[in-house]
Amino acid sequence: MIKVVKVYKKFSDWVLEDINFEVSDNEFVIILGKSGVGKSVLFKIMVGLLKPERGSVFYNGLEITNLNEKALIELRKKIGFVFQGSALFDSMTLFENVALPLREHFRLTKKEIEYKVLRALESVDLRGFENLYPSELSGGMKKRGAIARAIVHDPDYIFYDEPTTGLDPETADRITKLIKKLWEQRKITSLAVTHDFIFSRAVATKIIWLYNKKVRFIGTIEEFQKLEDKEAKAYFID
Amino acid sequence: MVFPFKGFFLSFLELLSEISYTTINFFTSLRFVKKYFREIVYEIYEIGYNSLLLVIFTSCFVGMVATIQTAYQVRDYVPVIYIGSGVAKAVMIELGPVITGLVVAGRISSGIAAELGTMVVTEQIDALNVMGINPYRFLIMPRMLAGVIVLPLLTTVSVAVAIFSGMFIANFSGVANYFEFSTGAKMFFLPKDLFGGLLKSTFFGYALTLSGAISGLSSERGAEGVGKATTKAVVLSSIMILVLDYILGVLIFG
Repeated sequence: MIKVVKVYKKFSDWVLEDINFEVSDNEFVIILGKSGVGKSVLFKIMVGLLKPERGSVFYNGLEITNLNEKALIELRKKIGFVFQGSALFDSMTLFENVALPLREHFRLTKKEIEYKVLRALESVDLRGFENLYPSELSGGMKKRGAIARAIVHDPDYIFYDEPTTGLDPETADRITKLIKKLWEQRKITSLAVTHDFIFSRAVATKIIWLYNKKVRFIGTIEEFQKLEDKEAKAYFID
Repeated sequence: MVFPFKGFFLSFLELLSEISYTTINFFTSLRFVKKYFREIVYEIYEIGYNSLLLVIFTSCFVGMVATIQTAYQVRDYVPVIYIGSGVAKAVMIELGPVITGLVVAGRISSGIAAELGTMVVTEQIDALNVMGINPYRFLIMPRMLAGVIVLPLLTTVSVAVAIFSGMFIANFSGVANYFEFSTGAKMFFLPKDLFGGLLKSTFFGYALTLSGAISGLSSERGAEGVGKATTKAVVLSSIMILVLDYILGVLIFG
């Protein structure tokens, strides 16, 4: 379980104020909000890439905001993260990209690594493309490659940062279905930040709506759709 | 009262802290040399082999210019045999290491800064961090170690090329024949000259890769940020090479 308690974050101005919520095991939580509302910042705080000004983040009771680098690395072994722009390494093939977390953190033989990487690529329909470099992949393929890299080490938690942003509707639909399928098959506790309501409706078990630096709503997608709030309706009116 | 150099002073302190942080990370990462051996070999090839032609080309002209200008300065006052001595010493002690350092800095530190800056912009550095992989260990240590290994080798080539090209031009222009030049070059040769120069180049290799690394990692977002990082890398590495040249010059030959 992940618990976010009274998190505040400031750059030149306050970006997040008094953020509180919980993510139970096996949930798929969507953090919904407009661009620039601080969703990605919140994600980076949750994985220890940024430190909050105040507040704490707990993973199964373990507070991570003040962990040292070594302990943080141990925690991150249990996390998969899919970046908005995929963040695949240009100098590595798709295979090497996906194999990287395994090579770095686990004592596996070449055969075991190959088996796990090809299985991850299979699950995102990228088998056969393992020798291509990121520059040779389309936007959707890069995104699927990033998902394969995030799941290859069987993490306990997976974070998706704007998984459908910048993709054409057909590819976005394919990515949505893929993410949903992975969650249903593996039941990894999943979180996504997005402003894509179609994606949210397809996968979410819980919606956390960020508005004006604060959490304005926590509940199911059905409850969110029933909100008599002009700002909330703007997400699904189309 | 407002301190007039406050901004410069703070930037300088920030730079010192970046240099110290990267240096500590470099030395603590050295115990992973075996793990990243493949990356180190790749960087040695990238920095060394791919800079070789450039170093040979520039060193060729450095040797020729040094010979012509030494001859111009001394030919009416000292025997021509000393032209070879002067050129060989200048090339071993100063010109070889410094010119090689500056030429490689222009090519390598800007390249490292651009590569790392792009990785910052495209969140690849964040991706490494979130995977629990230390970017200093994975990206910086192989490049810096390769710089430290490769620069003395390139400087050796540079020194040899500069002396031979100097000897050639001395003979070709009638300043001194091959025998006079080579006799002069050997006459005052001290191993300390050569090894002192190579020691300097080791530090230059460290400085130019360090400059690329800290400029790239501190790159701001966007294409403009990467552009600024590459400029900063070249300026910083050039300054560091010249400052180190003075300090090491005093310590070794002073």
